[in-house]
Amino acid sequence: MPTNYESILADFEKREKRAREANVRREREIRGTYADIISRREEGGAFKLAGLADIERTKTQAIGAGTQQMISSGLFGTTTAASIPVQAEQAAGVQRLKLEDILEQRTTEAKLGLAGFVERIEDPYPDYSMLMQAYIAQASQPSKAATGSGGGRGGRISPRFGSYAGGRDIISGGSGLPTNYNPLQDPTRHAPIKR
Amino acid sequence: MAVSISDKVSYKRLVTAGNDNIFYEDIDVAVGTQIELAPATNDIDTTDQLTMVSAFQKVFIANGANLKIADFINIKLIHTALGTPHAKGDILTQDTTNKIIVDFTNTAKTATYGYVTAGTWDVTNAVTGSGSGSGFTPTGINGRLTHTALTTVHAADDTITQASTSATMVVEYTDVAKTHTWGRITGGTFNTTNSCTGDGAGTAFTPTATNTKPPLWYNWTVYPDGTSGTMPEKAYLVFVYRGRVGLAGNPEYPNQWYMPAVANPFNWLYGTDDPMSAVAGNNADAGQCPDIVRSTISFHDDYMIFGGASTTWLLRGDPVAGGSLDNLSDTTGMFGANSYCFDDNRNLYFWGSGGIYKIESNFSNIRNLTEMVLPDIINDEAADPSTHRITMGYDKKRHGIVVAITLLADGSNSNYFYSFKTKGFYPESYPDECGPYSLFYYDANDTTYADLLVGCKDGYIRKYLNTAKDDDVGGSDDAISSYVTYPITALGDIDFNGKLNELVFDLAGGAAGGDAGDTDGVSWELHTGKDAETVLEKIIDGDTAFTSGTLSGTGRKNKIRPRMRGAYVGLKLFNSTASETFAINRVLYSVKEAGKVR
Repeated sequence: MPTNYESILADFEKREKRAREANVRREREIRGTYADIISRREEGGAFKLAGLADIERTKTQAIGAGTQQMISSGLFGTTTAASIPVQAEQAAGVQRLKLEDILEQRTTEAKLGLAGFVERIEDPYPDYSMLMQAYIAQASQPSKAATGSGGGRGGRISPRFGSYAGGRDIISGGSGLPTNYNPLQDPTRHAPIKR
Repeated sequence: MAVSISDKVSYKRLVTAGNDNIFYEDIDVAVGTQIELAPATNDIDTTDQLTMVSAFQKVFIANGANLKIADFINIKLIHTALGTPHAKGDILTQDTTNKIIVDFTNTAKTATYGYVTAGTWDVTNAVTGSGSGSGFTPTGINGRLTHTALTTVHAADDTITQASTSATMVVEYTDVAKTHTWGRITGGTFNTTNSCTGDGAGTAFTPTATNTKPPLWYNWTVYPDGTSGTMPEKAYLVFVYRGRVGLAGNPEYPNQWYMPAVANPFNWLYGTDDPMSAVAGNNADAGQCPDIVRSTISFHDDYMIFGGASTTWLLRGDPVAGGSLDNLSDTTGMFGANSYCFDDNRNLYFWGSGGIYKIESNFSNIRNLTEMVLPDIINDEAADPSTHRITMGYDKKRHGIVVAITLLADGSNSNYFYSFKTKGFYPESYPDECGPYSLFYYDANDTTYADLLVGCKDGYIRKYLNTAKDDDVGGSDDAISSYVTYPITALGDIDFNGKLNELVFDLAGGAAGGDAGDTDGVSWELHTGKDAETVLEKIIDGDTAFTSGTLSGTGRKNKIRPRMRGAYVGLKLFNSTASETFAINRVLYSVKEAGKVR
């Protein structure tokens, strides 16, 4: 009936909005997680600060141990003893470079992960054919609960929006839709997000 | 099958310093013959302290600001200043077959010193290196021509030409004897057949010998590669320890010692992260002021002793790699650079703050040998490092230590021979001309020359000769005055006089002639007194003896009846006659008691 089109559309839009908002929230949460991971490893981040502090601690201990050994062996008054801090600093420098390298690797991995996440975000077009079919079905006969095999499955929280993770398009999946299928009443389906 | 075996001998050369000259034993001329190293003449100051050490087939010299090397293994290639010097260890190649291992480059980068491993080097072909050093063509190679004494020497920078061979040499030095001309060969090859003429006023000559690898003389400096650190500007002590040719005795930093990199006496860059790197230091506990270093005594690669002004320190191992520095004595120092020696059992003897000391080879004990027998030796000798030199040497032929105390100004000396047999000290003195400035046991290849050598004030090197009865003072001989004072003997019981009835001397030599060495004559004196010190004083002061006589011949002499009464008797035997020595087997005497001492 012509008036049912508007309710179908309203219901469709309401579901679509809910789904989009949920997905945007998930996107933000995931972005935030990645940002946190990256910030910990960037300049001034907690990971780097902790690493540098550990290197300094090791350097201080090396200088102390070396100097004590020089004193015990009576060679405190030699250039060998005087060069212990220099050598410790050289060793610390190597460790700092290694730390930088590790941080760089981890940051890159995190950024690549974020990039992949962003890359996999899909902005599908609104599925008007589905809307039309829902209207046609609604207009032709009373609706029945769908029992077809093409219902797809609930998607996991993932960077994919609008399609099923590994799922099938509800229109084409399985053995086809029953003629009385009303997608608006299919609880297993996520509507595509409009951006 | 016939087997031919030829000996391979390592040749030793004696190198000496005196009269601002360096002399070395030229075994090509004759064993034991010392000739002047002309390039070194007047380049050192032997009126100042000078120490030398041999290492890497060179002699390293520390003579204040004169830090020098006499090099007996390398050749010298002269060239224009290199942009980049060849690094130590680089291989230089000339004409594909001539090879040299680079050892040193001078500061101006105009001379490269290296060991020839192949070929005969020339001044014609270009030279390339295995490293990044600049290529060059030598403009000269050091050489030396030997000849009969010239009437007029060739002046420095004169060019000597041997026309028949087209050989040329630019003169640099001629020795005092005018029998050796040193210079850089700039072309051709000299022979010993044809005459040579100079472009100056020098006398023409025909070489009697040519040498294209004469000893070299150059300044001991850091390698000019910009990464070899800095040497001390002055030093008076040089030593070798674990492959490091070290220095000490810098008057600006007298408590400091310096050691270059292992096996590289030209690298003085301290503090690198390398167990072989150069190292400098001083001898003190942490936070304490270090003592002045007066002597540096290394024993093989095992350990090193630093003798300070009032302390003694022991360095074991390498100071850069796991070594240790321990204090041996807080109260005993050493007199000077050469006031020590080792014996055959690795025991160390030295003139210390309180007398003559012995350090056992295992460092279990530092004992003052003169403490009981010569307790006041330090004051008696009153030696001062600024005016005296004390040298010590182990005489393995006579089984003892010679301790020589010489006044530098005039050679007057007071010496001791410490006998290992009797454990006693025998005072002796030599003519001033023979005043010892150095003692050195030379273990020569030719055993004729292997002996304890004495470097004397007059510039001669002398040795102790059992068959000589006089001292050789140069143009003449000096009689030796020798004496022995028997222990002052009590003639009776405590506080009782005795009467010396009979005295019998048994002189060395057995029967006259024969195989046993015969003694020459000997004089004797008897002194008496109520106490022992009075008797000794009479002998020391040369008072008139109670009775005296002279003996001659060998074997048991006739009985002497001195009829001398007293509480104590002193017997002195002596001989001051030229070309005479004496030896006594024993002295017999009989005594009767003769009442209380009043």
